[in-house]
Amino acid sequence: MVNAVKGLYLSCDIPMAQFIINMNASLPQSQKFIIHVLDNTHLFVRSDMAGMIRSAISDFRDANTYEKPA
Amino acid sequence: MDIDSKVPEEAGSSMQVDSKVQEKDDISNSMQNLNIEGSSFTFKKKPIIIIVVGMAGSGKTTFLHRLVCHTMASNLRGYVLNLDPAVLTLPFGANIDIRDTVRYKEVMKQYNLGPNGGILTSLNLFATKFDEVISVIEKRADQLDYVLVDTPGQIEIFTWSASGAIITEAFASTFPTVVTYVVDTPRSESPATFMSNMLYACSILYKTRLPLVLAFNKTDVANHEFALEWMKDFEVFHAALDADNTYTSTLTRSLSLALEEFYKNLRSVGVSAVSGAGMDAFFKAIEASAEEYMETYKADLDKRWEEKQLLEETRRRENMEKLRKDMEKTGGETVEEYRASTADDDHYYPEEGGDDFHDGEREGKKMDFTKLELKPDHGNRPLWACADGRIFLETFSPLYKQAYDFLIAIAEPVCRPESMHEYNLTPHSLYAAVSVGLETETIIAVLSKLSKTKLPKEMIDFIHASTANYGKVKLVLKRLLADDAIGKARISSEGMHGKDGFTVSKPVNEIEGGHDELINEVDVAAAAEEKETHSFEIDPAQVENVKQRCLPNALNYPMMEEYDFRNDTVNPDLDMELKPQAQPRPYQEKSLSKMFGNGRARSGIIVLPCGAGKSLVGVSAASRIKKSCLCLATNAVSVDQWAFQFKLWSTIREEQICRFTSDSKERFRGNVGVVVTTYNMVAFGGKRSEESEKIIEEIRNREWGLLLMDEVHVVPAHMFRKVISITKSHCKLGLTATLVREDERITDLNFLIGPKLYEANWLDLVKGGFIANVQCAEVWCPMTKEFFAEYLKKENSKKRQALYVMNPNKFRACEFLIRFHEQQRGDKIIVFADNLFALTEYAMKLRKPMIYGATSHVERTKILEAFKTSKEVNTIFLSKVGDNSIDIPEANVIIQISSHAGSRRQEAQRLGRILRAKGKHQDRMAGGKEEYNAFFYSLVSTDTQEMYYSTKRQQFLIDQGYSFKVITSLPPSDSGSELSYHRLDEQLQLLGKVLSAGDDAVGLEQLDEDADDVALQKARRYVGSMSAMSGAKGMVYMEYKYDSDS
Repeated sequence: MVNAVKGLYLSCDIPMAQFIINMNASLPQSQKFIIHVLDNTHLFVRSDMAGMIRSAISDFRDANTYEKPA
Repeated sequence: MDIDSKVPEEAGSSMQVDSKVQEKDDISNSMQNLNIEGSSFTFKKKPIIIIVVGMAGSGKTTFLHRLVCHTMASNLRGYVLNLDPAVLTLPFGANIDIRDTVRYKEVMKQYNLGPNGGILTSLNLFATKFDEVISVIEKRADQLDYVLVDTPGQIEIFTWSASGAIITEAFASTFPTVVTYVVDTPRSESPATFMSNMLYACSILYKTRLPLVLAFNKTDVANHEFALEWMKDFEVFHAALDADNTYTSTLTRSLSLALEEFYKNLRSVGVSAVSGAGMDAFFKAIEASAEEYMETYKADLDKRWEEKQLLEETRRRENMEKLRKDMEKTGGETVEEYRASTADDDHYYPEEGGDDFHDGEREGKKMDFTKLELKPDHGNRPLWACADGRIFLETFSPLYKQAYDFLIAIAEPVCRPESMHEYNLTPHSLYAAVSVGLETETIIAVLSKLSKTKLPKEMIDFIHASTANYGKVKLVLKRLLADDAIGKARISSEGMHGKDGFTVSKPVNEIEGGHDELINEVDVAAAAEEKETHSFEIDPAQVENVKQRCLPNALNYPMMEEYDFRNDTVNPDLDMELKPQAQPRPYQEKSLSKMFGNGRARSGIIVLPCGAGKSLVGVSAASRIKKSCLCLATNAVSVDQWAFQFKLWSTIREEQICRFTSDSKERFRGNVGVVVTTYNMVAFGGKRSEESEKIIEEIRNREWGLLLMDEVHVVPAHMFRKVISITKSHCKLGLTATLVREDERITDLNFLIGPKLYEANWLDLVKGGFIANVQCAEVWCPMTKEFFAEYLKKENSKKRQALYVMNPNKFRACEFLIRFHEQQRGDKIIVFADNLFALTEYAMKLRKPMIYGATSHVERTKILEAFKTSKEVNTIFLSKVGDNSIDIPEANVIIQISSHAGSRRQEAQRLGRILRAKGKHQDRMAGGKEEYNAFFYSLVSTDTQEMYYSTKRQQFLIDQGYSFKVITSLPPSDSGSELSYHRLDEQLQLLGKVLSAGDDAVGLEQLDEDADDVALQKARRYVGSMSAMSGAKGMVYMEYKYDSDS
């Protein structure tokens, strides 16, 4: 039987893909959102997670960015 | 490879989210529903958290000790958490101890806090990472029955602080939590004390909203029955209050009625921590409270948790919305807007405090400067002066040179990019100005002449206020005549006086309040007579105190320190002159003229970039003063270099100069000469060998004409301050390239040494061809998939640094750069790595020599010699031993593969290694043949913490006007197959090596600089944020295991 799953197709660079995979792995089983790791730079994830992924990435990048104190 | 033409590619990593609409599917829908239901937080029934609180002295710790013993004896599985940072020794073993993470003494010191503030701050720091503690306990949850939590002795610190609330809440949201309030029973026998105790218990109940168990402690001393009775029957309590009708007892009486309800639901147990009575009852009460917790409190918590979650969700959604909007806008527009506003800032910098300019209609803190009147010929004037003390200088103005010379004398440079410099007027900079002989009125007159606008009144007032008192107290080092009376009579003339000491002289008209305070502050020898003579002697040991006390934040009589060396006939002259071939460059000349302004020598600091010839300035100063000179450097290598410089530039005789290090202990011959040694050797506090003890005694007893301190930015560390107090010197000259410290203690130098006498502008020196023109570049190396995956894993947090340093792409970039510069340009390359593991790996793989802390002096010299002379050795690897004062003039390329976190100083010092001018002078001048003749590469692994540090490190150099070019994709994608780690299996092998290395092996190198030959007292310098100092940033929780069943 054919199963169709609705989701998001992500394309990103290699480190970010790893970041998302790591994020997915740290969540409890019930909240995992990656449906398929397609290749090094492409992922297929649950469609409702776009916001979460975006904010996680932006937090991660903020942590690695130095801003000169005013 | 053409670096210049590389355009930085797109920053960071990009992500596109393509939404693909697919057919709805029942299964996926139902799956999602399931998830939502299951997504509530996990809650376990065990272990029960017991938070023990109590007034200081109620026996909390002893009680806890008893609990620990009890759990062990009765085979309960307990886990102990100590949250009291101030406890000296715990009678029991704590599994997690806040003291491992936060050193509260350090916190007190760093934040200038008292004990309570220190404890509170420590707790706050700890609370920031409390989730990690929770996760540790969560992992153990299945094996535990109870978690016992000790709290700080000062109860209010835990119950009334935010961090206390965070900690309790964190516990309560994961485990059943019970608060135990320990009551000192014998002390509660009086009804009033009892009542206050109960009120406190009540307030804790309110604050924590958790079940509360009262533990009446010390029942072996006083039975707690009375208390139980009082709680049960208020009439008994009233009887105990007897017929007292004072206000307190009336209040107590009515409160006891009010507390009836509170008592009813309260579990109380009498226990004795000493004898161990009542323990079973206590644990029963705990179990019952935990039950109650699950029934009533949990529901409440759930609700609170949900609310919080909801808030979080909305916040997140808002953020997302904002982000999406930003993304929809075209990138260019946003950038444009930003540009416009910064350009604005250049001219109209927002200032704080200048209320006069505040225009209510304008939003934010932006100040309105439109009211400032432009002078009609403003185009010809180079300055913008703002009321808050900032001054902006246009470097393209024809008057730039004059204005620059003037500004550098009166203000501190903040930031000096190419066409607009920013300066700041500070009290210290103004003292420096007065001390070089500028009058208040001159300063104001020149400033207003140069300024495009009328000088703000605030600025004029500020200048007046700061300079008014300066120079009225002079610290002149003299010798007192055998005849004391003459010595006192000749206050301001620099006569020869008897025994040595520091003398403060003051003009006659300046005896005011401050004067007496000064006397109270220190042990002043000739206090009685000084009203007439206004000159008195200070205990040499107190000089630093007096100086600090005189600074503006205290007495506001900043002192001038001068040494009248020409008239000093007591200390023998040293016969040394500058050799004729030693031609000081214009800026060196200028810095010296600031020092010897009026025929006397002033103490102070001269700031010159590395490689600009600081040593020549030092040697020139010494040969002008012509007295004994003590020269301090940071390590043995630079001691040798200084000794060499003295011989090179001056006519000093061989036997008049001696080195004093742990390796070479040359004795001082004759009665005058130059001693070169290290800070450590002088400040060393422990036992020394007999030989060095003798030398150090000589150093201590001698009066030095000049104390020359190299790399003075390291001086504020306590050990180095000791040097200044030990040695008696008439004049101190500090030399440095980087007057920055991450701990902001650089201002200490103002009273330790003196004001900044001169600071050179790096870019001007580059233009003049005095230092090399360096191309700075940041090379972005993307992490490989495997390395990044490991980097992200929580359990690798200690190895993160090793992982991003050992990133194969970085290695390849490094190898590529080495090949390029060695083969195509014939350059000499230094590779810096702080991380020892990386240093060895890189050097071994590339077969290059390396030097690190453990390399012996002989080997170091050999390697450096080979690097300087041999055609074969063109690259060396250095750990941070190479940061300061290793003189390698041949090198012109630096590749930095790892660094010490965000230290701006290190970056600048490393750059300094290649600043020494190269090639022919005319080629280097602006418009010469070679645009760049030195290269500074910083290799950074993208998407890691290194990016943050890298930007921070560059700040100092950016303030000096340097710019960093970003290079991506190195090696170029079409080449690189010949480099190492090209194949995946090699990369994986490397990864395995990094992961299997011990945590200590991949850490940073610890250096104990250069020290005496006996047992070492290590002085390590840390650079880092407060939280890092106290340990809260590294967050290494130690968990000790105490088996209950053993």
